[in-house]
Amino acid sequence: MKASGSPPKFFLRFFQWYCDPKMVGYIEGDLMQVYGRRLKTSGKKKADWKFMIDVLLLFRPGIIKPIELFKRVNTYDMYQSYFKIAWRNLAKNKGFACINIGGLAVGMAVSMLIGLWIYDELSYNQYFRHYDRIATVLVRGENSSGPWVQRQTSPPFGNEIRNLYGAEFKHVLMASMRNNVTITAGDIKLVKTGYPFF
Amino acid sequence: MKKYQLGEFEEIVILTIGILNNEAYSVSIKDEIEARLARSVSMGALHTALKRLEDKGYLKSYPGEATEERAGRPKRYFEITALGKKAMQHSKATRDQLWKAIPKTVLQIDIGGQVL
Repeated sequence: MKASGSPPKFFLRFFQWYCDPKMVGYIEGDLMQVYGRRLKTSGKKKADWKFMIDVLLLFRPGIIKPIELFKRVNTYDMYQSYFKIAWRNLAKNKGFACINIGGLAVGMAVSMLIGLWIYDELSYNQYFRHYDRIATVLVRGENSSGPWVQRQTSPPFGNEIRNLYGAEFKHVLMASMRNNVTITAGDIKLVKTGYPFF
Repeated sequence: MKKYQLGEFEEIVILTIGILNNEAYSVSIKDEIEARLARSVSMGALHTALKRLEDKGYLKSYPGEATEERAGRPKRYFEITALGKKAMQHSKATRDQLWKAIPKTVLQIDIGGQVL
């Protein structure tokens, strides 16, 4: 700079601090150019004074840098682009898209059905009081083809369990296989098919 | 009629950029307005107007050369876009239309019985 003297340091620093980084170079150049010109025409004191006024008048929205807190993050545009590209791919490969979406739909439907099934299994017989304390006695044995399990027990088993463990349970019941049962009360005879308990 | 929005000062700035044609950067715009219209322009007002015009898409800017008098900082030249030209024409057209609609007698200034 030919004419000696530079603008007030503090105000220049203040300007550089608040100004939007995108514009700071250009506006600072303007300030320096105008300052240099004023320095020649009207002297340092007046040029300094006008520089300060300019810096203060520049302190306004649009020139002050945006607050970091509200900095726009570009995620919305990113997702918009993803969806657009996905849609275009589907439109381009229609057959493949049909298989893909159809397969997904069938898979979801089946998994929902499986879920309903499991729910039904788990909720089965829950209407009995103390349903979680009801047990079935199974018989386990082994033969040449490996272990086996069955529900059938020999008839004396019921009484034996009643004697040994009757205190632990409220009821011990024996059920027979499904067959026709005749119930007699005086003259009335009733034939029913089912699983009679003893 | 909200299609083109051009404030009074913005209009002056964009017209001046048109006058300067390729030589329009902030200090030259400021000097030109001050010389032609005899009104002082603060740097802050000018830069906000330029930024707003650019945000609206009426102006386009590109960096220019850095000189010693600018302490090594680049200039930023401005150019009117097609949209900016349309906005200027729109604002002139609406003004003209309003001017035409004013009855002649309204604009006559009557001083002491003498009609100017």
